Amino acid sequence: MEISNSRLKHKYVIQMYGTLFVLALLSPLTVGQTLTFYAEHYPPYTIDVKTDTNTMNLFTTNIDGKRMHAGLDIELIRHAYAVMGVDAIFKFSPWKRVMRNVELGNVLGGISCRRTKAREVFASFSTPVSQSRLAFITRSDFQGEVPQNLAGLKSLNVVIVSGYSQQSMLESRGIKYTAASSLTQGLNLVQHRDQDVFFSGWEGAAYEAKRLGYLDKLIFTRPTTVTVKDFHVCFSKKYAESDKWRLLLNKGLEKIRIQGQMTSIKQKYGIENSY
Amino acid sequence: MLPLRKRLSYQQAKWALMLVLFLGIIVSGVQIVMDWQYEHKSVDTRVEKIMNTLKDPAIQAAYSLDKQLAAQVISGLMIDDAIFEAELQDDLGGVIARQRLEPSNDDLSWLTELLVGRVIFFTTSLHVDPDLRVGQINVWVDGAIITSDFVSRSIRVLLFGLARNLILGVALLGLFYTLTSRPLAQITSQLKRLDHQARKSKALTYIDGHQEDELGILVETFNEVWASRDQTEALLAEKEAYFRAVMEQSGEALILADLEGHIIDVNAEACRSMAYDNDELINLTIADIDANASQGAVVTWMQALKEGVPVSIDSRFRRKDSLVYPVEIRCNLLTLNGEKCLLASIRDVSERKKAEEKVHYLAYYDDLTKLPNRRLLQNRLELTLSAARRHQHIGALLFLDLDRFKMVNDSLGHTAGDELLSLAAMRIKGCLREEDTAARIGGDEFVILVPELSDDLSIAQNLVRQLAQRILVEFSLPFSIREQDVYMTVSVGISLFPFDDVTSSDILQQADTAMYRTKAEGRNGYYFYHAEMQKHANERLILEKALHLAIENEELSLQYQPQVNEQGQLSGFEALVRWNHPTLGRVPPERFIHIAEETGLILPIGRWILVEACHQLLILQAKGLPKTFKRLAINISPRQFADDGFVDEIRDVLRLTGADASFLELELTEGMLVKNIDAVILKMKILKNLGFSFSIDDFGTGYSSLRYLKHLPIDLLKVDQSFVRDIIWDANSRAIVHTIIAMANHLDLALIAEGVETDVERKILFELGCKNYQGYYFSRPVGVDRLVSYIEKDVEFPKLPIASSH
Repeated sequence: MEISNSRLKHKYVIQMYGTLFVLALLSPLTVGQTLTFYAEHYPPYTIDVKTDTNTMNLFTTNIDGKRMHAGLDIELIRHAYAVMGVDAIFKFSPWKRVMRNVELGNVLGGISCRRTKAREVFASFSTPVSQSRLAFITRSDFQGEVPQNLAGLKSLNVVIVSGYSQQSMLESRGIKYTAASSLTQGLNLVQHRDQDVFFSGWEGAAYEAKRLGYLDKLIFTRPTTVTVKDFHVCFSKKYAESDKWRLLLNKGLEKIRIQGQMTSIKQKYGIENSY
Repeated sequence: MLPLRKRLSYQQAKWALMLVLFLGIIVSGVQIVMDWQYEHKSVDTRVEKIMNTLKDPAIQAAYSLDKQLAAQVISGLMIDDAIFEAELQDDLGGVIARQRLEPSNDDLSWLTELLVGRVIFFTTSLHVDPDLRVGQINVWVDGAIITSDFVSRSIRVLLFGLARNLILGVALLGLFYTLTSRPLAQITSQLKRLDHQARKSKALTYIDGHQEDELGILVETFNEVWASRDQTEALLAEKEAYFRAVMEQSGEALILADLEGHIIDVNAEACRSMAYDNDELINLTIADIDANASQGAVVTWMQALKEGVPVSIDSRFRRKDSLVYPVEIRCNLLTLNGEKCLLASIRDVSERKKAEEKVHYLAYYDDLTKLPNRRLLQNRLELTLSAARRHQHIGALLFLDLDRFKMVNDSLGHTAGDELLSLAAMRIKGCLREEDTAARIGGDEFVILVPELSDDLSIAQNLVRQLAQRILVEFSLPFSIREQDVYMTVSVGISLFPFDDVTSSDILQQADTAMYRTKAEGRNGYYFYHAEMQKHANERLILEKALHLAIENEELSLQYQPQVNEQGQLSGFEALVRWNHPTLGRVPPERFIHIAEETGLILPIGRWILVEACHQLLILQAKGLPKTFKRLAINISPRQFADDGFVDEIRDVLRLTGADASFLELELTEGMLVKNIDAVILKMKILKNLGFSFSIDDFGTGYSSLRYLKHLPIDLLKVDQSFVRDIIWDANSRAIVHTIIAMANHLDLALIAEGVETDVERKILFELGCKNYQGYYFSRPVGVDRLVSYIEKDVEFPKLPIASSH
């Protein structure tokens, strides 16, 4: 395991320096710049080290004594930009606030962001960074019929996290829902209240349910119609040169995919390349 | 019955009610203000508290832009009925949630607007952490809701306060009426009755229940004052009667007048002194009776008087019979029945004025001669001197002294002397012009002041000389005193002025000095003063001063001039006093003896001479005097001899020295013997009995009266040296000496000639019958040593040839 890692690291270093060299020659204006992206604490994709202080130490890294934010998307994006010679840092705030700021052009971009029609109005999307499965989450003792697709939600009390893509999906289909303010609240509403289904991303909800200690009391069901959704970086159309940074990210992502760094990072978080 | 609004109780209640209302309003106002402040603060606190309660969810809602949560937060805020609108904004100002109700609308909205404004706005920022502002809560509070309770509460406070105070006012009205107004009305009623009953009732009665409170004290005090008033009125009546009696019995005229001078009242003395009836006087004014002042002047003067400040003035009043007499008026302003009046006491000062004039006369005039005295002369002299200096003309002062007036006074008596002085004064006045002044300044001293003679000195001198001569002529006529003709001459000294910076005293002194010069020159004449006279006067003053110390300083000494008989043998000595002053040198006897005589110093000097001569006699006797020696002659001055203690003093000297009086000869002068001759004879006889012998010195120069030669116990005549000096060439002198010698022989008196200086003189004297001599021809006066040697050596003086002695 150590040998394998050492080889990987050596290869990675060589590739990284090579890429940096090329980029430095091609685009000297971007080198050394720092980009800030906003995210919501949405493990395992984006992990706020201030919020998640204990359980996920596994994923965090320390650079110069400073504990860096972790998460699959964060690491992929950080590495993608790194190979392009740009530093990416991440700040956390509620998702609605992230989306509002992206919409208004207050920030460059937000993660982890599914592609919806509503968001396309104000945001440009990077190439997919990661993927997430959708899940209908019910209690294990749920007596009703577990829905198999979105239409099956119409007769149930459905909870979504306010501002998440699931909200627009339901709204577009005229399905009523209860908006929770967070994953935790959504899970709690299903587990402890009268809500039947919590419609959310699989990985994030599972991660949070595990943290809450009742993962085993929940049943995750994949909708038949919608299976996997990509997570992108939403670049604000109003933010200056956002397209430049989007394209640069796309290149970086391509590079680390080619170089294998993407695979190793996904493995670190226990997520397959694709579902 | 007083109307209600004028009653004290009503007034008290009214003012008490107004005061209570005022204070009630003030207190209620303070209460409302404090209430409002609390209310206002409590609203702030209330809103702040609600907002704090909801702050965390609000932060969460704003941070997460959670509209649902935001709506819940806003709903929570809207629970407070005072909040009619609330909203939650994100950090960009976007409204996340808002809720609004219509604000209340009532009639007191204007008051709300006035107090706090219609809407009160609150806002608070929402922060996740200090650096991250995520939004804010805005709250609008309905002011009417806040103030409605406060307003209704305040109205209640005011209304209740008003009602309470009104009730209190009514209660006070009743209370004051019961406690104050009604008892006072009762007292007033009693007072009215008291007054109407003309003080038949002597006191007020106490009101029931008020014996010991202020009303009781009022009644008590009034009763005391009422009683005191009775006493005072009685006292006033007595005093009025008393003062009326005093006024009527006063020895001074009293007049009461108004400030216009109209006489209001007078006493009996005023009527009597001014010879008016009472009614007549009361119809007059002060100006009618005051001969010195007009009506206008009287009024002006009276207006200037001040009350309580007495003023004394002198004036003259005119009686009804037009007789005017001097009065002293003492005035004082006083107020009678509210009108200012003048009370004047008038004293007839006619007698006093006369007395004052008399005093003035005595102060400035000589009562005997009716001439001005020294004081008035001095005044006039000073005025005259300054006028003379101002107008540059010359005046004169003549100092007159009657010659030998004392002798007249002694011989004829003081009354005759006074009569003589009066006559002399009349003669002096008869020589003068109207503007001249004759004054008597001493016993027999007169001064004439001639204020203006001429502007020219020589003319002035001539004029004053004429005046002096006229006076001398006037005095040359005899004065008839008690049917006797008395001759009296006068010595005059004249001083002209103004010269140099002389003062009036200087002028008088100068005239006096000149007069003394006249005296010294033989009297009965006049001299003008000149500076040399003053020099002599000054010298005399120096000598007089030094003479006082002569005995004490042992400056006096005796010299002895031998007396010789026809055989040239020593028959006696004459003791002669000498004065040797350390700075003045030898002062001859003729310069100081008369000063000693005049000043009285001759008495101690005379005694000293007596003692000294007696001592010397004893010494010479011890040395062995020749058998021819008969006497030691000692000169006795007139004053010394006239002294009452002279005989006793002689006795004392003999006792003191132990000298033998039979060897002592007292030399007298003729002048000493003519006064009071009986006493002189007695005194001489006493001394004669003691052993003394007497000689008459300077015989032939004085009275040479045979009368006293006959009666007096005289032993020796001394022919005056003035005859001896002229005896060689002046037949008259020779005849006189011859007569004197014949007289001595006739009276069986011894004889000695003084001043024999030559042998020729001695021979002539011898031929005329004089056999004793004294003079420089034989010896000058010698000192004690020389005298002793004369005795011891038995010196022989020149003697006549033997042939001549036959």
